[in-house]
Amino acid sequence: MKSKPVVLAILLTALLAIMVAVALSVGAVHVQIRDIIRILMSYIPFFDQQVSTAYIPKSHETIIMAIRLPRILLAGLVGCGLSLSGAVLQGVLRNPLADPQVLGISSGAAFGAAVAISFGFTYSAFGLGGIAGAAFVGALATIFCVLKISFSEGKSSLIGILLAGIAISSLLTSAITMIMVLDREKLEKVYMWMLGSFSAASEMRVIFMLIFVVLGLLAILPLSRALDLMMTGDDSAQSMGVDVEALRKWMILVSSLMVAACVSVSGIIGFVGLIIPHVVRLIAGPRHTRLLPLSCVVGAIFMIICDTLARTMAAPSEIPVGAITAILGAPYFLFLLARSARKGAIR
Amino acid sequence: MNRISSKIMRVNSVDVSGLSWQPSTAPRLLLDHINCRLEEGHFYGIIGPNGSGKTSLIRHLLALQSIQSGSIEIEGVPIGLFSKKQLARHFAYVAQKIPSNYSFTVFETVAMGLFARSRFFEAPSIQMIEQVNEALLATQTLQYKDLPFAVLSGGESQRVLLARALVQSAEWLFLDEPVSNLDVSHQVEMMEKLSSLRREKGKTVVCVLHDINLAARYCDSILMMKAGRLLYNGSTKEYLNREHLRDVFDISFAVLAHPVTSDIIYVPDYGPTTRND
Repeated sequence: MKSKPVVLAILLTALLAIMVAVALSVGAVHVQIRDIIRILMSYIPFFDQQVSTAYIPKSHETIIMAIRLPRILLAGLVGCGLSLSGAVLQGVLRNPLADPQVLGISSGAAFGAAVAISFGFTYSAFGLGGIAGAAFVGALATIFCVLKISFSEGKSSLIGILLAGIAISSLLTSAITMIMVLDREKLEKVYMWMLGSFSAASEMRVIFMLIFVVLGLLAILPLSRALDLMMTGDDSAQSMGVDVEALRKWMILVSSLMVAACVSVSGIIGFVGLIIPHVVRLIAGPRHTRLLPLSCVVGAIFMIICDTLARTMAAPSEIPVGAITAILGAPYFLFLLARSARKGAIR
Repeated sequence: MNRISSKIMRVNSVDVSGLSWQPSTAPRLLLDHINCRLEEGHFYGIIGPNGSGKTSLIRHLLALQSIQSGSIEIEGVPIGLFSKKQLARHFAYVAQKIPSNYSFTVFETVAMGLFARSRFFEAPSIQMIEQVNEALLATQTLQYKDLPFAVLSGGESQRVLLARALVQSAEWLFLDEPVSNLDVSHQVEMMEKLSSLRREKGKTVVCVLHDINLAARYCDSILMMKAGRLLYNGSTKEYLNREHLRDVFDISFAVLAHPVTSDIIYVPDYGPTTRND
C-alpha cells in the first residue's frame, strides 16, 4: 500500500491546514472558520487590504491570535520535532523500539523542571520561564553525559548507547521521585508538568521551537539517503561510502537537541515519537527521504488533534495531552499493524 | 578531502606491510605482521581455519577497521587518507547478510550502491536507474525488483547484494564467505558469476572461502592464513598443495583427479572413523 509520495505529501499538508483551522475554531468561544481566515489574512501584508475584519469582535481576534494560534503552532512544532527525532533515532540506532525518551533526555529535562518547581525558580530567559529553562539545561546536561559515555572509546556500540540511556533515565527518574516525595506540596505540580501540556504556550516559545525544528530539519534531511544505507548494517553502509561513526554522532546530537527543546516547552509527551514514524513507514515505505518529511507533517497533525481534544474534552479543565496521545494513537496503530500483518508486509 | 587520494582514478595495486592487529579483548595478535601485495585483475582466494584472521584482513582492506600497526597503501597512498566515499568508488563489499527488520525492496537495496557517486539532493537520473536495472539483469534478479529484500532466499539475496556492489562500479570486489550459506548448485553459480565478472568486466575479486576445491577451481591466487599469519601467498597452481594445506589446517589431504573431468580435487583425511555402526 505505497501511495505516490508526492500525492501523499500534498494530501497530508492539506490535512494539516484543515486541522489548524478546525483547532483554531473550537474552544470555549466558537469562531467561524471564514472569520478565522479573515483574521489571519489581515496579518499578512498585501492581503490585509483585501479583507475587512471590522464586523468580527475584537475579543475573537485576541482569542485566535494571542491564545489559540501560539498554542496550536507550538503543539504542531513539538509533534514535528518529536516524530522527526524518533524516526532518526530508530534509524541510527537501528532499533524499532527507539524513541525520543530512549536516551534519557526527557528524564533530564524532567529532573531540571522538578528542581526548578521545588526550589521555585522564577527567572526567565529566551522566552522560557524558570521551569522550562531549567528543563532545557537539564536536558542539555543529560545529552552531554549520554554522548560522553556512549562515545567514550571512539567507537560506539548500539547496545552500549541504549543501555547508557536507560541507566541515566532510571537514575534521573529516581531522583525526581525523591524530589516529589521530599517536597509533597509540589508533588502535583511536578507530576502534571511531566504529563505534558501546551497550556503555557507563548509567542516566544513558538519562536524557540521553530528555531530548533528548522535547524534540525536542515541538519538532518540532506543526510536522508545515508540513513537508508545505515539500515543495511554498519560495515555494509561504510563500504558504500557512509562515515557511520560520524553520521551516528551527528544524528544523535541533533535529534537530542530537538528533543530537549520539545520537552522543555511541553513536558514529556510519550508515544508520538515512537509510533508516528512507524505509521509513516506503513503508509509510505522505509525510505528516509520520504519518512522524515512525512513524519514531521503527520506528527504535527496528530499533536494538534490531541491538544485540541486535551483542551476541549473536559473544558473548562484540561486533560494532560500526554494522556491523550496514546489513547488516541494506539488503537489506530494496532489497526494498521494488523492490516499489514495480514498483507505480509511485516515479518 | 585529500588531493592525492581524490586524483586516483583506478586502483592497480594494494600494498599491505607489517599489518598487525590485537583488539584490547583478544589474548593474541589476530593479525600478525601481514605482508602482501594485491594486484588488479586477479581472483584472490583467502583460505584458512576459523580464527585465522581472514575476516580481519578483509575488514582492514576495506578500512572498516582502523590500522593499529603496519600500513595499507593504495597506489602508494595510506588507506586512512581516503574518505569513505572515495574508497567506496574503488572497493565494494558484498555483505553476507542484512540485519533483521529491514524493509526496503530489492530495487531500493540495489540503488543504494549509487550513494558513493552521487551528491546531496541529487535525484536519481534515468541513467542511474538504468544502471540499477542492468545490475539486476546481470545477476538474474530483475524479476524480484519490487519484492521486499527480506523475503528472498539465501542464494537470491546474495545475488542482490552482488548487484548492489556492481552498481557501486568499484573495480575491486571483496567478499567474506559468499557461498558458505548456499547449497552446492548455488555455490557454483555464484563462483561462476564472480569469475565472469573478472573476465568480462575486469573486476578484481578478493574472496574468503572455506571450500578448498572452489578455491582451487576459481582463484588464480591464493592467500593461506593461520593464527593471524599469512603463511603462503602466491599463484594457486604453485602454492595450493598437500604440504601447505597440512601446514594451514593441521589435517592431511589426499590429492585426486576427478574421475570425469580429471580436475584436481582435495579430499581431507578425516582420521579413524568414530561412526557407531
